[in-house]
Amino acid sequence: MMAGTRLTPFVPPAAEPGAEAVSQEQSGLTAMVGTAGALCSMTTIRCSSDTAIKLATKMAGDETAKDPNIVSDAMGELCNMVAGNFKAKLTSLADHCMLSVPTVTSGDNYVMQAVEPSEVLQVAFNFEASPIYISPNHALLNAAKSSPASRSSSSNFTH
Amino acid sequence: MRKLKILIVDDSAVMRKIVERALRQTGLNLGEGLEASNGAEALAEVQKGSLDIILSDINMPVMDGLEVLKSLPGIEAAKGVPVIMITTEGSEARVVEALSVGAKGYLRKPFTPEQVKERVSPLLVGVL
Ligand SMILES: [Mg+2]
Repeated sequence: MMAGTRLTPFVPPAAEPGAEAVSQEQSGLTAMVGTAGALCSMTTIRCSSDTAIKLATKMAGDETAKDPNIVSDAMGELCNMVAGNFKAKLTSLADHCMLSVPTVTSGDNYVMQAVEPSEVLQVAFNFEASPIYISPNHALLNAAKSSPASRSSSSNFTH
Repeated sequence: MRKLKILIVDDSAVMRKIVERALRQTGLNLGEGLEASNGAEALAEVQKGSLDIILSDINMPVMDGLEVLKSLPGIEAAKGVPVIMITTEGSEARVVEALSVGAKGYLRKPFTPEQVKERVSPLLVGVL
């Protein structure tokens, strides 16, 4: 809504037979917002730098989105809204946990690892033919054990 | 016709821009948008006086939106200036607290320009 666009599920393009798997994104941004209290978790949004600039342009306008600080700000606010609205859906928990301010990491060469073993739900959305990966809440899934089939079996994800 | 003086308080520059754009889409006769990136900066703007309305985020570094609300009664220039809180969180308790310490309404992010108009316009009846 804030980016004035509607996201649809992302379907990765079919690989050519015999082709090597190559990363679609040369560099990326990951925005993170932590939740602490009755629910401890980390919400992340990850996409390529180009996609992040497009999102920031939709949100803040052409003239500002060339500024890397504005791009990070836009990604952080998007993540904040996803985390906040996820929390709002859990009416019994909403009043008993707090959100952190957003943090944004540049680059893809990292591994995210929760100290507590938990499961990762990661959903890919299509934004102007590029994927945006949203990972709502790790620890909650560990507690609730009721998630859609798209979850993976590990708390780690590598880019 | 006099232009409205509106203060937008949010630690996110992108969000301040979105709020201002939404306000301009309401058709209200806005003057230059005043901005603050935390509660302390907001109180400094309030002290200068002649604001018509304040839209403030709740979660901010330095001083959050609830602290701003609690400080306003001690500022002469803030008398009668309505405040609308903008929140990402679903915390009823924080919204209820905001309303109990003087907020006139709240908007939950993400919001539409129509929702901004719905909240803001009734508070400006008689101002224009
Ligand atoms: Mg904020």
